[in-house]
Amino acid sequence: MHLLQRLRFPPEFSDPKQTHVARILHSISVTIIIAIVFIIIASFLSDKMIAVRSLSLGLPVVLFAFWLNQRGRVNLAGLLIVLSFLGLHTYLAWSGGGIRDIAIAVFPILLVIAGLLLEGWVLALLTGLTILSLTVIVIAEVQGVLVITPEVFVPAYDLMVIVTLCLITAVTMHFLKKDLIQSIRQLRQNEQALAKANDELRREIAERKQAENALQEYQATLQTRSESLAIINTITDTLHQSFDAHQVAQQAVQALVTDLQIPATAILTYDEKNSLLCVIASHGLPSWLLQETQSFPLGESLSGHALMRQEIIRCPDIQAEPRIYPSVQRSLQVIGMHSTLIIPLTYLSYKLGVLNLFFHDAEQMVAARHETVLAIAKSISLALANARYVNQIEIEIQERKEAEQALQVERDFAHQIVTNMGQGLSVTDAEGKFSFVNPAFTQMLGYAPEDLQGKTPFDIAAEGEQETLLTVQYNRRSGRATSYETRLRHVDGHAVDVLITGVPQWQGDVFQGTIAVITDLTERKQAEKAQLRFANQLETAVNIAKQVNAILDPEELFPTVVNLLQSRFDLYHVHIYLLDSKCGKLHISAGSGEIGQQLLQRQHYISIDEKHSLVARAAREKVSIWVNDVSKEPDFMPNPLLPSTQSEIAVPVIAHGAVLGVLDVQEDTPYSFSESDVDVLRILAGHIAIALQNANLFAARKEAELRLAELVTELETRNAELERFTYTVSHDLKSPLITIKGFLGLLEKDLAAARQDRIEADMTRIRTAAIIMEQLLHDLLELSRVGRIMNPPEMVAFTTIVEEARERVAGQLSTGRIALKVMNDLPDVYVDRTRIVEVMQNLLDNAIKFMGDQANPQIEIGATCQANKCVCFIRDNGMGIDPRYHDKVFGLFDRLDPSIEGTGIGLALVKRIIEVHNGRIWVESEGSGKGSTFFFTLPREAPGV
Amino acid sequence: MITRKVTGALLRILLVEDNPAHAELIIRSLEDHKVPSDIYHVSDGELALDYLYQRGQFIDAEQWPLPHVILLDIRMPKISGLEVLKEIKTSDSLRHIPVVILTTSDAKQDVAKAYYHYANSYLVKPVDFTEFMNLMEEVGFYWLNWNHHKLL
Repeated sequence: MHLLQRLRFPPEFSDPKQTHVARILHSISVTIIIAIVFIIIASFLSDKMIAVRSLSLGLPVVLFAFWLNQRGRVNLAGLLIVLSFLGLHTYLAWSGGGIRDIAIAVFPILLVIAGLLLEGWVLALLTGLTILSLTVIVIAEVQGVLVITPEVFVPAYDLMVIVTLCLITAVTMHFLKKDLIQSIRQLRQNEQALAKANDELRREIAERKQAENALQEYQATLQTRSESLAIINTITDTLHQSFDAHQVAQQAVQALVTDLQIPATAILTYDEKNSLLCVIASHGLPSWLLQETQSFPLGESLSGHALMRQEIIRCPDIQAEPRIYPSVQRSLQVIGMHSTLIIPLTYLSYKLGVLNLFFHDAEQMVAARHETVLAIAKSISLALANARYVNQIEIEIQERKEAEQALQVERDFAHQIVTNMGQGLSVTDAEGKFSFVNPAFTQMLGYAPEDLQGKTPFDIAAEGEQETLLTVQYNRRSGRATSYETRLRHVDGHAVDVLITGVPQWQGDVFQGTIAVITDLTERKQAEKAQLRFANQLETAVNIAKQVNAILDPEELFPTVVNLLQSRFDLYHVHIYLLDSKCGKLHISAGSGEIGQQLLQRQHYISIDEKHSLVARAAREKVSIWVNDVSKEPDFMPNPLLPSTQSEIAVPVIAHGAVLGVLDVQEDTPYSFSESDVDVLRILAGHIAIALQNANLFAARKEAELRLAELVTELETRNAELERFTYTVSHDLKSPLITIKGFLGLLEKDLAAARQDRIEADMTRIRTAAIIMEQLLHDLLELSRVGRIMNPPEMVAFTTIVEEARERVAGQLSTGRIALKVMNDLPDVYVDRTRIVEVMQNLLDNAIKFMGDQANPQIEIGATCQANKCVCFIRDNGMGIDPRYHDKVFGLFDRLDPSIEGTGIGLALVKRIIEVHNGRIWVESEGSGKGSTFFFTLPREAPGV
Repeated sequence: MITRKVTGALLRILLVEDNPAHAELIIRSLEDHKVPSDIYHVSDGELALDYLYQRGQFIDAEQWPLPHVILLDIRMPKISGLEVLKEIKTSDSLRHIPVVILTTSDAKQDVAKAYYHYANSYLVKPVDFTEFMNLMEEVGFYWLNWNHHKLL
């Protein structure tokens, strides 16, 4: 089907020529193919095998050409068909009947086809080639080269061939005819188009001419316009060079006459105050005419009308215009002016004046360049308006200048106030941004003025104050002026207490921002804080003082005070020095914390003369020394145990004008202390002084009390002793008295009864009693002397004392045959020599008396020495003393054995003497019969040495 | 010193006196007034207690019988009269024996102390001889005639 469709329809191409050739080629090739088929059949039937062979060869070539044609290679296809047929038929002729062969008939048809298909030199070449072929065949036949095969007439074949040729010719002719008709049609069309184009050209030329004319006209108009413009420009320039109305008007009039050739003109200005129009400039009008119409009210005459209604009035005939004053009409007639153009001069709604243009006739008026005139009139209006208001403006400028100056003065004043005021001033815009800040404000916060530009109070609010600001901002926007305390952040980070009083600014209903005055409350707050701190400190001081007053022992008091001070006041270190005025040293008495303990252990002290010590200076000068930065204080003595000390206060502790010590506090940061700290410390120092005095007084009282108690005891002892003394004295003195009296009585009785045996005994009793009495009196006297009458003590060798005593009892010793042994190397003692000899003698006496019935009686004397005293002893091997009576032996008149003579005063005397020497006496004995040893102590050196 | 004077009289007196002269004076004044009494004299407190507790040399009860009354001096060596008194009055077997303090001391504290320790009587030896004699006569008479003794 596809192939059949291809066979039926020729191919279509974009190029119409190609399509045309393709269509011809298509028809021809189809025809040829059909023809060839028929001829082959015919040849085959007529047994013309050569034709069959050649045509069978030609068929594929035609088919190829057909294919090529389908492909669009039309020229190649055409050439191929023509050449192949040329070659085929030449061959047919050559191999057939030569020049007379029927194949030759194809040649013209072939050329026709070629003419249809091919062009130019290809066609010429082909034609040449055909002729050459025919010529060659002819020549070949003439020469006999070509041997003509006798033509066998085959009717069917020839018929077929002729028919085919006819067909091809017909087809070709059909195309030729078609081509021709088409060409003719084309030609006709072309002719028509040409005619049409001609018409158009003609029309165009006419149009162009018209346009040219229009252009020329336009150019002329342009020329006129540009001239007008130039005139207007010139006039405008001129006019605008001056602000004087007269001058402007004069110049305008001049320009109108010169540049626009207006015969006569006049400009009237309008005096608003008097509602009058008057001529201020004219040209071409005689002066007498002008005098007549020097001024007239608005609304009168044409000019008055024109200005009042603000419309241009064209008056072609002056004489016919009733609104013009008749005198003027006449005058104008005289000078030959018959038409007039009245243009009101206005600016915005202001009536400035009127421009009058006079013409000789209506024609001239119409010819006048109205637009230009109007433009000039505008310009004049403008110039007049300028002139008219320039004065006003000048006045206004002057006024404004004055006002500005006044304002400037005011502004300067305000500026000075704002700049120099101590309080901060800020102006914020509607968005809350600072648009102005005064120096006080920036200094308050340490910013540069530009730092705050574009910032909001929120940017400089101290931490935690944003909420306050939000509330305030809300209040301000709702129209309330507010005053509140807040804290702002200083550039170095610390918070500044401020009082802000802000007033919202409004323009109509629109919030414009705020003007605020900022007062620095730092000093007030500091003062408040300082006051609060002082109050707290005072309270603490009072508390400490209470404790201080409750403690009487300085050793307990000072550690408590320093530790309380250190902890309550949060100090780096606190210590108290006490002055030892004898040696001029300030000894540390207490220090806070571990360092205080260390200083105390070291028995740290400062000489009061120490130049580089604040403590010493405070004590010397009796004033509080307050150092904010010890590194700048030459008198500061650094303590290696307190390396962080930065500031220090040393307060002298003074009572009754005498320095008792120094209270010294230290801090590890400079500038830690304030005046109030010094005051508080001074108060505390006062309390300490009182406490110290109290403590001293208390100690003194205690001591006095103790001493008193001792004295009382001593006195009591003495009293008791005295009492006992009195009692024993009375008793023991009475005793022999009773004996004496009694036996005297008995003696009398015995004498009366002449009892000789009893008399002697009675008398002995009396005698003995008298002796005892005498002895008693003697001993009592001795005893009373001890302590009352003393010899000055001296250094004596104990050996000497022993020897002296031995001499005194030598008789008794030899009587009792008692051996006395004295130790070698006895020490020296510092004693009342006479008394101690008495002691020794008494003790020897005693030992001898109570020797009992010892077979080998012996007494031993020795001494052992301790630091400042000697313990002396005298040992016997006599009766000994029952331990129960060891104390009793030293009592006055106490005698253990009444059978042994003695007053009982001896040992009491001994005890008393030893006691006067600050010594002690005691007895050791294991009991009766075992001997006894008396010990007593004696000083080795003078007391206090 | 121990003196024993046995007459077989009704009243036995223990005299505790350190001063031998005084002892002789007392004994003789009692004899002079013919007070029918046996007087046993010891010279100190220690001996007095030995006697009363019938120990040591006084173990023989027949020879050293308990007295009806004790004449006791205060100021004595070793053990004082007050101590002896205290001992007697705290002893169940001795407390019934009347103790007459006979002393030279008229000191108030001595008197007070003596009565504190239950002394039955407190007598101060008179310095005057006649008075001394009268006192001793009355003492003897009182204790012999008027006073009822447990032992009698």
